[in-house]
Amino acid sequence: MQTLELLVSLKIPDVTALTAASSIRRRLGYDEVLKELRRSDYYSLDLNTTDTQLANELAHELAEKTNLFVNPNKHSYEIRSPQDRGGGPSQQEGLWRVEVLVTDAEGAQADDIQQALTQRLGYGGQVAAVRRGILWVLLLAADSSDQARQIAEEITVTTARDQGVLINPHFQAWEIL
Amino acid sequence: MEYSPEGRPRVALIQFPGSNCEWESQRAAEAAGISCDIFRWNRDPAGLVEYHGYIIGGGFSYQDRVRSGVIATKEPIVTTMFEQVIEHDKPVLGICNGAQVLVEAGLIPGLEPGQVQMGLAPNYPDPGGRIGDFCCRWVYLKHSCQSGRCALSSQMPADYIWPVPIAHGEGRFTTRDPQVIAQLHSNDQIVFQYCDADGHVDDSPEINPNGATDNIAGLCNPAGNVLAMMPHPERASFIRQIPSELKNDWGQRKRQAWGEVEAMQQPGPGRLIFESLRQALLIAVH
Repeated sequence: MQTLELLVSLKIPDVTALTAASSIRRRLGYDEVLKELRRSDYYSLDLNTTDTQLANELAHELAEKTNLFVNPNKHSYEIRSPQDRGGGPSQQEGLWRVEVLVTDAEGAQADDIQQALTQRLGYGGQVAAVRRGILWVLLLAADSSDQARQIAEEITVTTARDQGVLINPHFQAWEIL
Repeated sequence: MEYSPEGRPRVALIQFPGSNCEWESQRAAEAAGISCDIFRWNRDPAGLVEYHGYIIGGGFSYQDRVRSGVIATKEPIVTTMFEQVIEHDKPVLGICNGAQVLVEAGLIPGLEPGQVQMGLAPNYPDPGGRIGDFCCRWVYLKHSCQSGRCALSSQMPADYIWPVPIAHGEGRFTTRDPQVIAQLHSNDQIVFQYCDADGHVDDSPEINPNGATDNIAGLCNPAGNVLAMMPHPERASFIRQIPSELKNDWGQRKRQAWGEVEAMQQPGPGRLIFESLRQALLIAVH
C-alpha cells in the first residue's frame, strides 16, 4: 500500500482564500502577521501497490484522466508523499509556513469518489481508499515555530465571533501537517 | 428611536454582498405593519442604532466563501448589531443565511453570547436516500416551544403546524457539546422542529430534510429576542406563495383563492413570524 496526496488549486486567483485573508487581516487584527493565505483541495489516495513509481503513475492518471479531481481548464495540481510534508511549521524566506488540513469532523472518507473510481471507472483493485479535505497554507510572520503554530490555531478555529475563521469546530476537524 | 412617518416600528434588514432575499423579506415585513429599510453592510454601522430591531435575510453572503455566514460575522455592522441586541434587547430575525450568521456570531444559541456553540453543517450526506447538498422544497414545522417563549414567534400557538419552504446546503444544526443540546431543551429554546403534516417529529429523511440534531429548524436565544431559522417565512407570507398541492388546510385555502387576486394576497402561515416581529419591535420601542 502506498499513500499519496493530491493537492488541487486554482490557476486563477482564489477568491475564497483572498476573502478569508482579508477578513483575518482587517477584522481579526492579523494584518502584520498573515503574509499569505493559499487554499487547495486535498485528497489522500491509498493505492494498492508497494512500487513507488507505479503509485506515482497511477496518481497522475487519476488526476488527469478521471475528471473527478482536476479540471485542467482551471486547476493545477501537485502529487506528493506524506513524507514530503513539512512536519509542522517550516521556515520559508524568513516566514513560517504552516499547512492546516480541514476535514469533516464526522469523517474524511470520500465515498462518492471512491464509488466512482471503483464501480464506474474500473479502478476497484487499485484504489483502496480516498479521503478529502481543504488544505490551507499560511505564511506567517512569527518569532518561532511554537508561535507560528499558536497563531495558526487562532486564525483557524472559530471559537467566538471575533476569533478564528477557517473551521467551525462543531462539525469540522483540523490538524497541522 | 422614533416610529416611521407612517407610525410603524422600524427594522433594518441588513444586506450583505450575496444576500438575495431582501426584497421579498422587506415586502413580508411591511405587510405585517413594519417599516423595513434595506441597510447595506458597508454603511456606517452607527446608523443601526436608530432601528428598533433587525432582520438578516437569506442568500449567500460573501458567496458562502470558507463557510456560510462566517465572513459576514466579522464585519463591523454585525458588531454593532450584536451590541444593540445584547445591551438593548432589540429583536433580531435571522432567516437561512441570516440564521447562519447568527450562529457564527454567537447570538444563537447564545448561552454564552459571542461564543460559537453550534454550527450549521452541510446537509447530511446521502448514503441511504437522505438528501445531501442543496435542498429546496416545502417542509412542515412544529412550533415546539411554549407560546410566547420566543418574541419572534409570539403570535403562534404552541404546537402550531405550518408549511414553509427551505432552500439551503448548510442547514444542519449541530454541536459537539451534548450539554448545549440539553440546555436548549431545558431552556425551551427549540422554537421550530421539522415534522410531517400531522406534527409527527422523527429523524426520517422525509421529515428531517437535512439531518439536523433533534429536527431543529429554528432556535431562539435564552432571552427569546433572537430567532435563527433555516426555513423561509417570507416565502410563505401570502396565500399566492403556497403550493396548491399541499394536502393540509393551507393548500385548500390556496385552491379556494384561485381566480381572485385579492384572496391571493391574504396572509400565509409565515406572516405570523413577521407579526410576531412587529409585536417585539413595539416592545423594543418602549
